[in-house]
Amino acid sequence: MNNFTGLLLAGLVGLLLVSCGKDEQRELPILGIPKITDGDTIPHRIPDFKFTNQDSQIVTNETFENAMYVADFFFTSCPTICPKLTRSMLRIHDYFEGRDDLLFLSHTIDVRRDSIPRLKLYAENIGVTSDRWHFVTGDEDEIYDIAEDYMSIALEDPDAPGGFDHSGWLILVDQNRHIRSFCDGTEDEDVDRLIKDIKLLMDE
Amino acid sequence: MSKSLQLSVVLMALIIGAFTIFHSSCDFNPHRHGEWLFEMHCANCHMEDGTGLGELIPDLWESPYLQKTTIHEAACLIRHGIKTPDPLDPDLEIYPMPPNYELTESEIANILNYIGNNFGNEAGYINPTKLKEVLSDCPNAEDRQW
Repeated sequence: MNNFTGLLLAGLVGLLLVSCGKDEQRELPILGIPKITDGDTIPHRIPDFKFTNQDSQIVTNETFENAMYVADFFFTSCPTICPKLTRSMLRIHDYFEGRDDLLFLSHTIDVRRDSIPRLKLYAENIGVTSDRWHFVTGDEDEIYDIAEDYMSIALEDPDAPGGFDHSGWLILVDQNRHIRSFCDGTEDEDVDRLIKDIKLLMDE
Repeated sequence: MSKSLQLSVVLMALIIGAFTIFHSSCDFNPHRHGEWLFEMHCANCHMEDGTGLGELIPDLWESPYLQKTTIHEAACLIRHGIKTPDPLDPDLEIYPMPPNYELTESEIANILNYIGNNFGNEAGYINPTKLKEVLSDCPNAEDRQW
């Protein structure tokens, strides 16, 4: 074996050790583009918001002050990915049953049709009776704007099925309003990964 | 590597390859096209495993609408969907299940063969003549209950 192959082998073994070790004690990063002001790096935070939920209660950042939460964007008459997203949210919700430190926030992007009674009916129809899951409506622009802060897309598009276009991410936000993980809500395996990440965040 | 070792590696590969081909032919899926169509047109709401979503989207498992005596009627449901007055606003009409006018008769038959013989349903094979008859004389979408 010449020097080069020896070095290559040592490198490969090293890489293997590093990558294995890393998975054992993984720490969730803070996602999003940080702001740099006066030389200080400020990580991305979810801005202030004020929406209304299916029980006509006001939902703000304070609702989630002592809890982490999973957020998504949907609309009740959505013919494409929403049922699957909602089912994935429901799966996470049921998996962590009784954990009051994990809440759920589903924003409708169809504020004209999805009135409070309609959101209430939707929640009832999928069997959500707990107050851990907020289905919210509010100012249309505020919802579209905050979608960007969740690294998501939400917009009205007459060409899209159902009239709206949106991404299917489920986004995990911690107590400090930082995005810590996300997954594709239409992919079961990716949702499994998010469940693991939620456990990691609970142990922090 | 010695000659005999090389030979045994090649032999091993051949055996594994042959076994794989043999094995996959045992898993023959008679409803492959139906399954594929189901995933394209139905699984967004009814889910790939057919379990639906609470009271919002019906579960297809052991469904009374997908048995021997009822399954042909389900063809109209797939083609025309279900239209009902909005429970929150009687002036509006909503589609709890949207129509699928893009699906041909044989595509509907393949979907029915798939869902009627999976998810715990035992509808047996779809009779094409009967399916044609049913599809040519579907009741109005508004009159269908769910």
